[in-house]
Amino acid sequence: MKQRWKSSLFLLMAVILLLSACSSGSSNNNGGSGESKDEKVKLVVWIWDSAQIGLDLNMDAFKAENPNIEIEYQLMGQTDLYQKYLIAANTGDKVPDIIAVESSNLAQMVNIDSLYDLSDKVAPYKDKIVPFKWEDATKDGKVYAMPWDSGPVVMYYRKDIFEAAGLPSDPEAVADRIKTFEDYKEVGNIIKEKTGNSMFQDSKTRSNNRFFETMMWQRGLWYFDKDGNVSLDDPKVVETAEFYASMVKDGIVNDAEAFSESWLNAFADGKVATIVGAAWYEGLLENMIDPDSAGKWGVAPMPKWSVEDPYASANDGGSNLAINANSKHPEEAWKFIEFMLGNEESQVKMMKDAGSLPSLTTTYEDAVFSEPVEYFGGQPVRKVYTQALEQIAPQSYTVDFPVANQLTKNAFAEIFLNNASVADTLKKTADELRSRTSRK
Amino acid sequence: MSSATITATTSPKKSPKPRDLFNKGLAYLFLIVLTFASLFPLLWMISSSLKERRDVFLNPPMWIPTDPQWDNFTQLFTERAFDTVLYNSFFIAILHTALALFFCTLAGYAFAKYTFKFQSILFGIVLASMMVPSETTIIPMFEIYRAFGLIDNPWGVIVANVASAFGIFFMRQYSAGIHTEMLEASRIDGCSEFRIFTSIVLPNLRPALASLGIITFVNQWNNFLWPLIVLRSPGEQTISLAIRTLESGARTPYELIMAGSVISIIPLLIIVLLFQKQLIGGLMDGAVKG
Amino acid sequence: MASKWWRWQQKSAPYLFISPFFILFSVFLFYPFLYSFYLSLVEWNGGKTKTYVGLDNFSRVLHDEVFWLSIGNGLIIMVMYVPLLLLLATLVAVLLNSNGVKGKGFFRMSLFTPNIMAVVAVAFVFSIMLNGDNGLINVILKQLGLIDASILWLDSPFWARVSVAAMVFYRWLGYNMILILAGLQNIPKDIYESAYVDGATPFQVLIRITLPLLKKILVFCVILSTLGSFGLFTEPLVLTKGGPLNSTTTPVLLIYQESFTNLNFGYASAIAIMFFFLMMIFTFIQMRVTRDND
Repeated sequence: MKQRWKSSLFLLMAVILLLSACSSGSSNNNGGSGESKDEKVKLVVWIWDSAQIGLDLNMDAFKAENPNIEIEYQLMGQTDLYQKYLIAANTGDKVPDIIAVESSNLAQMVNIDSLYDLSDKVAPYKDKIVPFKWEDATKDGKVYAMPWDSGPVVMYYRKDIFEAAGLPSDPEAVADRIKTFEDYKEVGNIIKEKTGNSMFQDSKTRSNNRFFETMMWQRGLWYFDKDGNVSLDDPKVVETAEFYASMVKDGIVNDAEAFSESWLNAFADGKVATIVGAAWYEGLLENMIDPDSAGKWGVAPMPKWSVEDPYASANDGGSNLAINANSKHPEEAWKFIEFMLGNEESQVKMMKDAGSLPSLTTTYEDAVFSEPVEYFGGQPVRKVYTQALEQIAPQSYTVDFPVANQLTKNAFAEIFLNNASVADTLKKTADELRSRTSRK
Repeated sequence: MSSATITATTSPKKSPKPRDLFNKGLAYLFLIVLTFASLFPLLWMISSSLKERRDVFLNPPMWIPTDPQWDNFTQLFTERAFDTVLYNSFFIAILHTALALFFCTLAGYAFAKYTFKFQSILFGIVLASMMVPSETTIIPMFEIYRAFGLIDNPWGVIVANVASAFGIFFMRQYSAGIHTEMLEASRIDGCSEFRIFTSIVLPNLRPALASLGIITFVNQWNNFLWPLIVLRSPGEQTISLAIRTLESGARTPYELIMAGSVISIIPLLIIVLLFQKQLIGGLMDGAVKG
Repeated sequence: MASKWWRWQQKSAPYLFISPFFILFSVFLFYPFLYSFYLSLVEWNGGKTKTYVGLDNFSRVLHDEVFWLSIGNGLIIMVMYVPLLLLLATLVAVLLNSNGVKGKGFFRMSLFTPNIMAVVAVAFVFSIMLNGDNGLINVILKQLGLIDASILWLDSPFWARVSVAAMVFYRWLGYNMILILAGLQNIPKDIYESAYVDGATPFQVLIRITLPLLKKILVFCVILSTLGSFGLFTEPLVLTKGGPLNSTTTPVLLIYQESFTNLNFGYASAIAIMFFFLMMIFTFIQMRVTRDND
């Protein structure tokens, strides 16, 4: 008897849901077709949360100017976003209309012909934007994305830790003390000895390779050389990797995956002396990584490989906005992108309140770039960024960056876990990369 | 159930010896330790779901949240559209279950109660289809789904594996127990075959339907790989997918992930507590008969 | 008058009743299965063009270290948990089947609970508990003085496999216990009674009577666990993303990554087909071995 009412209950539940499902399904359809009748256009934007902050700052202004455009954000992590979009593009999906893409993955997106050709639309901005940002956005002379922020790499450092280790802490003095990575490693060892703190953080097995890539980029080296051949086993690259590994083996690197809980805690607990990272760390430091340490961080130029190097900095990430080639509203989408990224006022606001450094060079004259920043104890840090920006080695991520990055991450895991030789491992990885990408 | 009561009365009754008592104590200790280990992650999940983010990895650990953050749960509904997500999960799991029960019973009953040409060959095919792990066909399935417009469509998840070999096999075992005379009597009364199925077979199979229904529902609710491939936009996500989506972003909100996990488990706990006999009975029958 | 229709509906009923299965089977299983053979012969990034490459994909699979590693991972993970799982599940089932134990329903349900919790949810709790220095497990082990330094549960190849195996063990203990319990309850009670009358100890009964009669169901459990270990997906995806050094990359995870992350759909299809045949061989061997013992 008891079983009977239970199973009837279950069936009843099924029927109710079935009915409600059908009715809601049809109302959804009505919503969809009704959209085109009134002139409101809805744009779907795929983006990750920290990038959305900058857009939100300018949302009211955009709405005031474009009352008929409605923006729907769909939040997801970068990896998810790229993966989903690659599939959506292949499937010919009309959604999303706009995607945010980091420069590191842009060339891959452009290569599968999934983005809307923006060549004519971005023409007026061609000379107003940091030149290297265009490279990964361009294929066969056509441009497929509008650059957003840039990631010139600098060195963020904890003044209090430097002082505790008996080192200079004033930005200029620090820049003088740490000119090369050799100096950087030396200082790291002093800090470890005197204070027990780490110089920087990176995971042995789950690294995103940003640190190593930064070291390469500053020297004008990359996974691929100028002719597009794999250069991961090039002697200079191997030498760089060996130096990086030697820092890890010296024990001056705290083993933590970027942005993991232990990585964040180590910063919050004041156990890490530096971040060699892009300008976008400004916003992250203040809002997420170490909000309680206002006044303790300073900014200096990043170390170079050697003082004679022609270039003094690297690029690390930075984003772009692009339009889905299958979007039904490319004009409106462009309006949105132009308002957010092509408009000086919007970009200055993003620099000021979201800590994202514009690629739009016409903004650099603005007072916001020379003003003291409270979080950094009044240091006018943005000058350091723009200076670094001018000294970035001119190169781009290239199409096969994601696979190269993935393979090299495994290479380092092998180097650290199995104590494998750097040169042999990179040679093996380079060959794997050649076969995967059909390059020489 | 009945066999258990019989053995209880017929088992030899002796006065407990100290060694037996010790053994018994050991047995209970063993069971209690295992039970605790089984429930502990669930308890830790609930505890973590009510913490502030920085307290999730506190050392020494915070066992019980001092200031329960119920807001973690409301946040999921207000900011992460968990209402839609729950609706999607229910919609998919219930429709899938209803259809699966219908198709599996139809086929199971046909195999049990009719004799027809190629019957054993056809049944052989049903059994053989269990041998193809569905994971190996995800790529061609994706292509076919795309052709049918089933990508990013809840129906894409609902129809997948809706007539499962396991279900047919399961219902065939139970259908065999229906009295043939009953069916014949209705035939003489002029009932069509389908009418017999709906008015006699289905009611008679209620306990089996409940068992298979619960098993199917639980499996579909927890399904991950196929929805991950099919349901691509955030608005179509099921709860398992939505929990994983929370992971991305610069800082992983573990407290929200735990809150989402708790939400995902509540409906199942309720159903399973209500229907535990059907669930476990169904699994046991499936095991013995298979 | 209606008799023609009548006879027709009576004759065709079984075919109509089984037709949904066969339609769905053809469209969603059989055709895709055949189609995957075709896909394994092309190079395809998911876009419009597929380039025929013959057996290139297969020769690549055969030389792909990661593919063989993924098969090895499935084996290692299986060896890590299956024996212990079956041992404990049998032990619990025997206890819950004996007369003396009270609260059977409670124990049975609690032990079964992990199996109904969403895999994703369980995976995230595990990843929190095993996380780095401040994960609960390391904290407790350190407090108990069992270890000095944190164990890298998710960041060293060995422990990462242990973690995945532990989670699988956790999720499936109750399920296997239920299956074995079903097998136990299926054993006629008089066999036991006569054994006890002959003066056998409970342990002797377990070894001589219960286990041999349970053999069929234990074999079933082993086969399920084997297929389950190779088919692991969500656990390694959430816990370790297949790392470190691909030590927890299972065949299914590899298929997923090659197709939906790296967009090598043709190559991934070749992996899927290789995987399918390897699974067939495994199952065949297991059935053969257990049959020979009879």
